[in-house]
Amino acid sequence: MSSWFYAIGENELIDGGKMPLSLEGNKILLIRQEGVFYAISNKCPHMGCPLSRGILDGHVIKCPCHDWQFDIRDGEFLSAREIKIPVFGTKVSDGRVFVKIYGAVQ
Amino acid sequence: MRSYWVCDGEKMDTGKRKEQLKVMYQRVVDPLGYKFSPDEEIVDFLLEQEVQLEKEKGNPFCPCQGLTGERDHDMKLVCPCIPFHREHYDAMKRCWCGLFVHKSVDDPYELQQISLKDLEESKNKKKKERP
Ligand code: SF4
Ligand code: FES
Repeated sequence: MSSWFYAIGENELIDGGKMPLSLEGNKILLIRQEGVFYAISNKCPHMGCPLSRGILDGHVIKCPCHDWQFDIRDGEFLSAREIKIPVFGTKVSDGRVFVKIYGAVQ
Repeated sequence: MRSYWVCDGEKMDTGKRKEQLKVMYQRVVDPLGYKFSPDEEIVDFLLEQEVQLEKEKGNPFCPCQGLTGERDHDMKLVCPCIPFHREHYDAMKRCWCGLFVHKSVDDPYELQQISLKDLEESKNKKKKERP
């Protein structure tokens, strides 16, 4: 079961920007890149550092703690594809950005 | 470099930190096909070393490898470093220190260390043998 949750207004995040959010108890990092919104878990799968403090380069985010790099489109860790950060669906409707959360019922 | 070792403004004790590292590492190495060594004594010893390194240097660096001070190099030696040296570990069925072994390994003392040089040589040999 999954539901869409309102996150932010479309204009609240500039292109290339990132914003940490808490939605339904999930720590999420919302990113806007090349006009598209991506939502990933904000917790690095290595030791849990917040990816919001990392560096975004194209579609790759580098963790601030030990430099592990992840593709924001599918969550894959670039050095070992078996490790992934959770990725959430996003949609924009009437200038509002929504994030799809699994296991949550609105 | 920021350390995430401090919890609620208080330094955690070594035993607690070792347990935390164990839980975090387990989540990382499991999908890669590795597990903690069945030798609990060596696991405990290496984790203790890592906690000391984390206290001194801010990160749980590999207890059996030397750091150079270059970030690109040293970050690949933060435990578990399996993703960055996988080919070598897959060939040995263990990591350099022996903290982790392949899931298929019951007796870590049957495993042999393979030097990086030997690994490269055997790879080159296989390449040449290919038609
Ligand atoms: S060699 Fe083993 S103990 Fe050392 S950092 Fe890598 S995974 Fe950890
Ligand atoms: S916590 Fe993210 S790379 Fe270590």
